[in-house]
Amino acid sequence: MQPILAAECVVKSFGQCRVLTSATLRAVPGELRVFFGRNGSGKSTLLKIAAGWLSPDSGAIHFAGRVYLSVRLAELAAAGLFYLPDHDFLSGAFTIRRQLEMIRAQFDGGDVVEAADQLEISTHLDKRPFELSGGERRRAELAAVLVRQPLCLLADEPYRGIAPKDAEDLTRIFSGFATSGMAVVLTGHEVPTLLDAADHVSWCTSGTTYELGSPASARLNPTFRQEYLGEWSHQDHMPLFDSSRLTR
Amino acid sequence: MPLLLARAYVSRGARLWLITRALVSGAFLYLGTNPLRLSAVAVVGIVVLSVVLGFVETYGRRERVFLANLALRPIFLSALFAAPAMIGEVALRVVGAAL
Repeated sequence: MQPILAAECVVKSFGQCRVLTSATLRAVPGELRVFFGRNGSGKSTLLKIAAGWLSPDSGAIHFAGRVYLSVRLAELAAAGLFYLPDHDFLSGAFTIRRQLEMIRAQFDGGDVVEAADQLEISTHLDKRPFELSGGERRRAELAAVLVRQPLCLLADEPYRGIAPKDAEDLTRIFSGFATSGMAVVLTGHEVPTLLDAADHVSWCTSGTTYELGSPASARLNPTFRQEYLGEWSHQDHMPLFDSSRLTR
Repeated sequence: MPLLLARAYVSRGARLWLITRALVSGAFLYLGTNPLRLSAVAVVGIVVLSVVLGFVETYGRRERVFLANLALRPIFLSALFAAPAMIGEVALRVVGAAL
């Protein structure tokens, strides 16, 4: 299937520091794509550029059949993109319900209460985001995605500050989005969870990106194993917590 | 633009204009000038300052991404912040002329 979003040959420098030399991001409808990369490798920068939040020095953004050399997030959002940044997305100034209603009204989106029920935040709808835990805030952000019903979702580090159990729940929700036909691209370091859920793995390193293919292919890539996965790759499916080793 | 969104940001603009106007009026009173009969330049300055403060608050609350995801361009946000300031200034000018 053709990508709905593609950021091609992206170059970006901040002052003298070149962060991206030739990077590519693609989002394909019905696929959950995961971007791995060490901190500072340029994943977030690439996502911001693909979302129109940051201008590239060179490169092009293709979205929903149009090509942009310079584009703003507002323009892409109107065309069906939704971008979740690597910080809290919802404003502390309004209740969750009010913000979800704003999204619904703007895009004639899905039902707010239904989305809240689906993400188990119904009891928090009349609270402000700062009254919720990290995991509940992430769920509220995903409720915003459900209400918006975008063609493509870019989520930067959506697992930050949440427990592993919540991460698994969120991954199921992201997988559900992809199954419904949405193009989903995530970044994160939750390797076991993300590799189990991903349809495609990309690796961002040294300013460029590598398409590693399926999670199985990614696991077999020796450079990826050595430079990113590290010890974890030698312990596939080892339980994180072995209760038999507990001593009284 | 949905009414809910417009109402939220117009009321923020109104609050910021009220604060700005109160401070500027205080300063003009201190300088011995009637704050209800300001020059056009001063009035435009107050409107611009209200809009700037609106953006500062929006940036401070990290709402930019949220608003961009709502396909709301900065120019529309400026209009939402400027509208109550302009209405307020016109009202004060009418009151000032009547007194």
